[in-house]
Amino acid sequence: MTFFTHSISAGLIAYAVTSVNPVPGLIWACLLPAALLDLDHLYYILKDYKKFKKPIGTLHEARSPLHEVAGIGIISITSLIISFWNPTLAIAIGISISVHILEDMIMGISRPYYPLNKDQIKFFNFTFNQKVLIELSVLIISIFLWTKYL
Amino acid sequence: MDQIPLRNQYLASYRQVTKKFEQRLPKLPFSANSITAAMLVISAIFPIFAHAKPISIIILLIILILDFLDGVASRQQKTDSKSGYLIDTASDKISDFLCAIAYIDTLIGKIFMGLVFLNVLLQFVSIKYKIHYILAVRFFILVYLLIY
Repeated sequence: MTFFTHSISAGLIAYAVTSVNPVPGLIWACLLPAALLDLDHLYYILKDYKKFKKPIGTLHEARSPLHEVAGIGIISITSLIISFWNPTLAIAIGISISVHILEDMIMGISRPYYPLNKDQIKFFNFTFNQKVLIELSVLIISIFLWTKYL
Repeated sequence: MDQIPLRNQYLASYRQVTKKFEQRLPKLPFSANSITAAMLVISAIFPIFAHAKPISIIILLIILILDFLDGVASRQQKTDSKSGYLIDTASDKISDFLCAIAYIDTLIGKIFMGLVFLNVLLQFVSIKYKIHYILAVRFFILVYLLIY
């Protein structure tokens, strides 16, 4: 999925949960973490540009541990620390990032216990066209539901 | 990973109990991965209903039942494998997190989140030392929801 779809869909769930107790900048706390998580691809792409010249179907190898189960561990302790200061923000950031990780895991190939274990897993054998169709569906449904809040 | 981590003695005794029940179940028409994916999608919407009882209890029960059924499906269809173990355990960690995060504004929610972190660490220990350890975080949340 593109960072935009991640941001819109994960941000929607985060906003639906947290908008009952709004805090300043909440909408950005919901949208940005899901989008910023994809920045880790840049490090690997810049490091080995030739390998990721054709990014379709290869980006799972350009993920840091933050994108996998280790990321859930890191975000759980981060959310816990933020929750002592601002629980709404902790929930928004936590949901936004975890739903991004969830979407990546369901849609494509992942290495859940990277860097300890490099075994790859795949939920479904989606073709490229099926992935595009699912992404478009998620995007359209999410944008439609966002209109409820904007 | 060259082999699936072995269950510790407590989990092994739990499996003995569920095995008898499992044998009575009809053959499931869905693959284990489909059931796990459904469990993950339902986990993603759980925080929206987390404070709306009894819907939260029903959703959490569905999540726990699906988590049980994915293992049943893999054994029935003889598709249990290392890959299946990795998919199942990784999905459980994400699901645990999504179920616990909605309660983080309370003290018990903070304890749940601490358990989620501990559970991720335990999972890495399980992979490293090939003995399966877990904390049933979602089950603790269910008990909390039923009591309070």
